[in-house]
Amino acid sequence: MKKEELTELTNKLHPSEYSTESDVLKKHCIDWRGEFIGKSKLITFPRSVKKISEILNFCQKKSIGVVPQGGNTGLVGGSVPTKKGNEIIINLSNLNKIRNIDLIGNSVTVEAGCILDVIKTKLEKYDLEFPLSMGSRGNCQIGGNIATNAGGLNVIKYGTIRQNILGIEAVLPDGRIYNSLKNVKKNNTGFDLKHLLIGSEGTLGVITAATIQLFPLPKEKVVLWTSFKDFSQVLGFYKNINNRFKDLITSFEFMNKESIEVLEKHECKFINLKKNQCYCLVEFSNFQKINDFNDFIFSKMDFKNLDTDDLILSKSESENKRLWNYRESIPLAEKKENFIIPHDISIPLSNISEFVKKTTTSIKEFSIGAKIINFGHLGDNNLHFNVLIKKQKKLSRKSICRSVNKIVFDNVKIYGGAISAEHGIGQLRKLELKRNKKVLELNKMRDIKKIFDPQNILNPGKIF
Amino acid sequence: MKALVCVKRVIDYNVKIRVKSDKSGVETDNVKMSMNPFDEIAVEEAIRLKEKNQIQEVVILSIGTDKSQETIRSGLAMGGDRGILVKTEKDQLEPLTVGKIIKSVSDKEKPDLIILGKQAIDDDCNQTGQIVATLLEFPQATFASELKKNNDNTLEVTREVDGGLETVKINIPCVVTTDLRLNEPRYASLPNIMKAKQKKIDVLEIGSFDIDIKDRLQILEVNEPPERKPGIKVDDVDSLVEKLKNEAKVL
Ligand SMILES: Cc1cc2nc3c(=O)[nH]c(=O)nc-3n(C[C@H](O)[C@H](O)[C@H](O)COP(=O)(O)OP(=O)(O)OC[C@H]3O[C@@H](n4cnc5c(N)ncnc54)[C@H](O)[C@@H]3O)c2cc1C
Repeated sequence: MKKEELTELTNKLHPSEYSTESDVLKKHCIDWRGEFIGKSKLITFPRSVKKISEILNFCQKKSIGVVPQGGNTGLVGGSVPTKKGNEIIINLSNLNKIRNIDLIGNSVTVEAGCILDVIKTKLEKYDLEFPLSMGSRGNCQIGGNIATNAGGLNVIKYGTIRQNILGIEAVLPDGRIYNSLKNVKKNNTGFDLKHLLIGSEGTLGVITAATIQLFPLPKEKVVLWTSFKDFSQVLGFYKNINNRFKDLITSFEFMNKESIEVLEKHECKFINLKKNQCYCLVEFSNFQKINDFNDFIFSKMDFKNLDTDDLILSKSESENKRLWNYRESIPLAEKKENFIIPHDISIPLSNISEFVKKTTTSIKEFSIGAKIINFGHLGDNNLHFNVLIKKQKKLSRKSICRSVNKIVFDNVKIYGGAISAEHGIGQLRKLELKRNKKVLELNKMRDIKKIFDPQNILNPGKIF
Repeated sequence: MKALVCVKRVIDYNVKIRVKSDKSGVETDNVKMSMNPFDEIAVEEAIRLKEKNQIQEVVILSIGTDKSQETIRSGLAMGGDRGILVKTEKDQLEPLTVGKIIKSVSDKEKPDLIILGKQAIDDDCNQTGQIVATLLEFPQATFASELKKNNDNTLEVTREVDGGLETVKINIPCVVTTDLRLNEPRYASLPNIMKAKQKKIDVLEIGSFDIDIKDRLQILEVNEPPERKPGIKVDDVDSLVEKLKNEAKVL
């Protein structure tokens, strides 16, 4: 980007809508994990959709790359510029109004920069549930959630965010505004373009607003915590609980022993609970205003066929919080380790036990002392299979990563899974995408990218 | 030795409270209810004494509507032995009334230790324990953060007082009110929830007590706390000082 171009562009913006200061830029050029550190000369914080349109129109004419950025909590390096240093950032945080709450149709229209937790809390006042929750909810934005088709903790009940999007507004790379903000559930009028924008990781358009389906807020939640000696018991437990309580389950999370070890090392002590090989956290929501909900759950349990070592049922929201805190602090604890190789994969439940066994063995053969930190939204076949490398051999970090990834992803293929369950491709999984996606699919994806963004200015170097 | 633990059913500590539109009180319909957290600490402490064989029986008492049986049941699932519900029409009674009922139950049960939360998180009165001790003429140790039973029929209790800790020794029978740091209450395990189902809860009608339960205080109006205004960003130190001086008027 030339100096004159920078001046021309910033002249279109209010001083509060951009920064060229190195401190500000530095903060926005590094991803949450600290793995991807890019460069940029300009970050913008536009206050209106029109401004975004002007920026993109200008950038397309001058062939300047643009990185859309939400809360920058993404885990695959999609939200930061590349090392080349010739992209600018459009940060959405100033576009943060709630445009409309429809209390009859139960939907909300929000701008992309709204922070997930802020929206959730606002809607609780209306007895409404925003159907997405995850550890990063205090920072991530609705636009980022849509761009990554976020999954999170309640997919088992509400699906990924894709299932609940009624309409989207986005600025396309040439500056034109695409708007499908219709507050209707059924709309079979040709190809549904919004579904291309969902999960596009900032490569097809800058999402500026969306209309999202809401749900009634449950009266209360109860958490069941349990532990097992062996992973195979977990699946039996899942089946049992799912058959009994299908509609009441809003989360089904899994953690292995190593997850709790890393948690205790860096984050918090594990109090009043039994230590074991693996753990499950199940959340039940009281949608029907059932009286004495704990007793209701208890009375529906199939005790005869429950093969667990211990089981507890929370008796207050404080206990819910404490138990959830164990699960949600695992990623924070991992971040404090020196060398972790993350994998966010999904595997069919019927193969998951075998996959874990085989892959763990192979990794431990390759790297002695390696620990496998397994946790995740098991109810959605989603497993975080993170490898903690203990002793580094003479090999470089990069080559260790490559070998570990190969072991994991080869097995993902064998066992019929996906190489990214919810975090996306970004910069981190480009190579694996090429290896694992069928040529036909990849080519069609490239064709679509060309139609939306012929100059390749939106989030260059990501996904492809 | 026998412990009587008094527990109250309240709006869950983590629920956001909403004031009724007519300002007569707070919304309790469709709201999660739990045991008052300080009382839960009292239950835990009594059970720990029992596990150390220093207490033989833990009786859980609640005063309230039929739904308070849930609260007693959750104390029994933690390890209490049996329950007593003094059944009333309404959930909220004033501390003096509650104190008189507890005294009356205590006259019958003859506990060596009456242990309860230092306050209930709904009305924040912080009176019941003190009133009970007065009516029974028992020694009391309030705001306990540590509790030890001695062999000479005394309790050694560390109290959280302003600016530090105070350790007192009191004779049994006595009243202890619990503070947050006393312990971390246990979870209710499914086998224990199952056992709790078999435990006895005696239900006594409030009418069978010769106590006037009429309120002495009248609530005129309940209001939400004023909403906090969002913060603003200032450009530099000078404008911060200017605003603190002229707008906030704190300098
Ligand atoms: C502790 C922790 C827990 C997490 N748990 C989960 C989880 O359970 N489930 C899950 O799915 N993810 C999880 N994540 C990952 C992350 O929070 C999600 O991917 C989230 O949706 C990203 O939102 P964001 O606003 O931070 O987006 P960013 O990180 O800023 O951006 C992510 C991608 O979206 C693009 N983008 C952002 N905003 C826009 C926009 N307005 N228009 C177009 N493109 C845009 C960016 O270019 C980038 O490619 C977790 C992350 C952390 C740190």
